[in-house]
Amino acid sequence: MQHHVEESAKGGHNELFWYGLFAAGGVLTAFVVPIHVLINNLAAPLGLVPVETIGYERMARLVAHPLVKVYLFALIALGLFHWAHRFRYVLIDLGVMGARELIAVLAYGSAIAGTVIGAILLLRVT
Amino acid sequence: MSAQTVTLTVTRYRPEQEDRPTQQSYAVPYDEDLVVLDALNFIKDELDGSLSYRWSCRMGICGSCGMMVNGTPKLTCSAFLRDYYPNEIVVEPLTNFPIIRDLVIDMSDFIVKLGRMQPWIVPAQEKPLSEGEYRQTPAQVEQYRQFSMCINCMLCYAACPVYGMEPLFIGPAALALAHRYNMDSRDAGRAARLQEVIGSEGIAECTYVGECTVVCPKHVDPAAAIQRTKVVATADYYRSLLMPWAKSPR
Amino acid sequence: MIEAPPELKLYRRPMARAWWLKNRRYTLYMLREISSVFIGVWIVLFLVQLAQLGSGREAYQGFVAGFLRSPIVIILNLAIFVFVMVHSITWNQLTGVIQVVRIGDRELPSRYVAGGAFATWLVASLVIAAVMLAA
Repeated sequence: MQHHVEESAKGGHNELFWYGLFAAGGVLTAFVVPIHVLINNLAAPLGLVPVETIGYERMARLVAHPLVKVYLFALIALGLFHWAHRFRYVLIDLGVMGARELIAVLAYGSAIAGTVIGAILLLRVT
Repeated sequence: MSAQTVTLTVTRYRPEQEDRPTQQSYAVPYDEDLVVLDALNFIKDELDGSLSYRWSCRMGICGSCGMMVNGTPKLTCSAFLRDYYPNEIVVEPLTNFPIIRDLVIDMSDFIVKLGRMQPWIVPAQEKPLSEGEYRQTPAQVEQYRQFSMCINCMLCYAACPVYGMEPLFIGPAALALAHRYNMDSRDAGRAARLQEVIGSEGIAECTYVGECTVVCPKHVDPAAAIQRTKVVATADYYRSLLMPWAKSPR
Repeated sequence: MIEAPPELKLYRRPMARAWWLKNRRYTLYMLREISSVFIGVWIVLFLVQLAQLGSGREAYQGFVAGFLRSPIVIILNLAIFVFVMVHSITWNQLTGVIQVVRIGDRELPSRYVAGGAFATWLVASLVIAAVMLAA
């Protein structure tokens, strides 16, 4: 019984690690993603606000700022880990029982990859 | 009494004579203050003494009479016929549990899981009787009171799709019970309980569907208990990871 | 798990694959969870935008004019917007239930905690909008 609990607890600590990232990502994305989508992906492309809002000058200047880089990195990283954890459980809910470990590796792996790519892309903008 | 009747269609399963469950319909008297349990008792007393089901207090406190009524987990002593009349009422054993006979399910898995939660006060130090009783302010009681209202009726397990798909899942009522003790100011057993519940059979498996809370007849809100446990456990874990020198609150 | 004696001949009912279609709350739960996919999609779109930004003016302006403004992408982003709103609304509501805020002896009712989350959402959105529109 003790061995079972210890094994379970070690796996449990891993679960808590991913859950923490999921929760932080959930909070951040809940607060900021809608406004980003609204302005960056809808209002500006549709001309409801001046298209220059997401124009090259403005965006390059904003993203060049170190604080903006830090903010965007947090948003990308935590948002991807939020997606990965939740998507993993959507697949489990949909009955994809067999490949649980593989799904976890693919989901968190893509989140890690996306985070690294995000860091590289952010550093590219000077 | 009026001569109105309503049809009850109940699950029958007699393992000694069949391999799978069937259904049987009975016409029972209808009255606006009768409940489904009254209808079952009428069937057993007057129509078919072989029907098996559990019940006891008939007033919503013992937790014995949980069954599926038209697909929803309910205490049959608290499900009024008038809410279904004149439509057929389908009564089935609680979902996600193996059937022993007719409407009786095997709850041994649930009982074991309750026990794994160490559902008793684990004091920081054993106090001799001479030192007197533990004292709590009303505010301290309020912190766990809601979660202490569980009557072990298992409606939440029937409602939980995670338990349905993963039989190893500890489940809503047991996890709410752990939270009840973790929040009790007399208790110091949180660390040990968390070890038991943070594994993949525990809080990690819950995805906050929330149906357990919807069906609970005692408003325990097991879903909230589980999410709060996740927050506490995660905070404890990250604290130990990022600030190993810091002492955990309890 | 306790193993029941085999002579009991317990009957185990199979679980429905599409259990989440069985009642409205299960279905709404599934839609709520799927909102995370749209968060992921938006981040990928944003990563592409960042890549174009780092590739110079022509590449970036081509991306905005050719890709972001194309009707199919606009429709995709409308869907994204709906689902990220679902995420924000449900997340802030549930924060009220999950996050216990203690003031002295008593617990703040969950609707105030949720209200605080919604207020933070509003303030954060206004700040970001201000930065984006006024920069």
